[in-house]
Amino acid sequence: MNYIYALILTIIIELSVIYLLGFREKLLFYSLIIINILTNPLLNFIVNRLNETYIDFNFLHIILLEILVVIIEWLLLKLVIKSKQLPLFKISFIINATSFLIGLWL
Amino acid sequence: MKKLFLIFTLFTFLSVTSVLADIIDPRVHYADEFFINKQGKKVTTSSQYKKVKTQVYNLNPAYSEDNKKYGYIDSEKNWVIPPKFDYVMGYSDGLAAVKENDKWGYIDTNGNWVIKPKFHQIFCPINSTKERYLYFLNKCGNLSSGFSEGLAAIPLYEEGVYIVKTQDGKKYKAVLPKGFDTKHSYFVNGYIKNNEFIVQNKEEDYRNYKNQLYYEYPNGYINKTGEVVIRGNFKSPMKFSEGLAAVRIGSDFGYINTKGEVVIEPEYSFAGKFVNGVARVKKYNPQKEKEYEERFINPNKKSSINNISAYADEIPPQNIKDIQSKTNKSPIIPFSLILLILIIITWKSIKKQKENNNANKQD
Repeated sequence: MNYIYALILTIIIELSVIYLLGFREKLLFYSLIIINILTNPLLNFIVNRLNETYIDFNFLHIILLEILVVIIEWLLLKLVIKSKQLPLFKISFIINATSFLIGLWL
Repeated sequence: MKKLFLIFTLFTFLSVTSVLADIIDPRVHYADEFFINKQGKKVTTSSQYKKVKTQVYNLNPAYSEDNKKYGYIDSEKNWVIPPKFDYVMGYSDGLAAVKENDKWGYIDTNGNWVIKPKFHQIFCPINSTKERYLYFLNKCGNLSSGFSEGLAAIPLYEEGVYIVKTQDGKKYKAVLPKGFDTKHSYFVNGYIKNNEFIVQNKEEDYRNYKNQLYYEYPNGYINKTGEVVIRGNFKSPMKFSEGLAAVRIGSDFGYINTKGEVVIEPEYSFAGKFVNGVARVKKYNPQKEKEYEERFINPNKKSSINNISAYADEIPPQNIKDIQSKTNKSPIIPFSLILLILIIITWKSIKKQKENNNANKQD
């Protein structure tokens, strides 16, 4: 159940950031929802799994994984949205950075 | 965009180096390598030290997509032991560790239980950098983690206790379960005396005891009947070879015998197994060290307390959860500030780009 709550919260935060930035493209909103459904539970599962093993899994490993998520989400957005006007990498970075920052303090 | 890319690259570089710093231990990297005999004396010749081929079993861990379980296949990929386990390890000394219903046990080469599943965890042996990389990628199934000379190392998780820091932060209290055997009061990082936990391993002190709550348990060795025959305050127990096993006490490796007695004092940053009376070891040499990267230690690592009611008799579960939530967040604060700055920079950049796009459209 925690994975679902994390996913819903992430989607709400990321869509809010996109909306506040002034983007109104429906394809962008729908793409982000689907991409998060694909990547967010997987990331949380990997983090939990690595944390439970004997490895000295620490905070910086989580950062590394988040960086990978930014890259993967950017590539997926590029695949779906073929617009050159949308700064997809910056969008991927800012939405993931915001949700990560809020998640740190929850 | 270029500025952002530069910051991103720096971030990635820092993250990757911190990961590598964990994998490549500087105490092993900056060390003198030599051979010792069973008395711990340095030997000048190592001609008798030859790599011994371990027994190869035609039983390879494999996963079945049909029932999502693990079993063993032979070299022709036929199932020898059908997939029915949650996880499996390689064979060693005729037995293999397998997991069923969240507990570990051991089976023989016919798949019959020799030690029924009762252990919460087992060890994943790390004897080389390659094994450490596999461990990091969570591929322990490719490594054998079992018996050698009739004994297998096992974390005695079930014999653990919770350690709670007192309000003044100066002492540690042990939360002892009902029926706790006071004879077994020695743990990996310290021991219990009059309900107080005395921390001996100062290296772990910073990493683990920054939290209010920590779960401490001893390590040991079992025989082929599942009986605990060695119980001790050591870490990273290796397989027995020629009657001796390397174990880490504090930050260094030494050797114990089959009775659990330390026969070679811990002073090595790496300790190999004995072959023909000789073992390869490494001893940390501070003079060799050119640059020492301080290990990033996360003091906010939370313990898993899913089965807390089985152990914390004195402190109600909801209070322990309260303690856990009040962890020290100091390393997160500077990182959060950096991240906030990056978010603001990116926000302004996106806004500017939107304005430029709108202006171009109007033109």
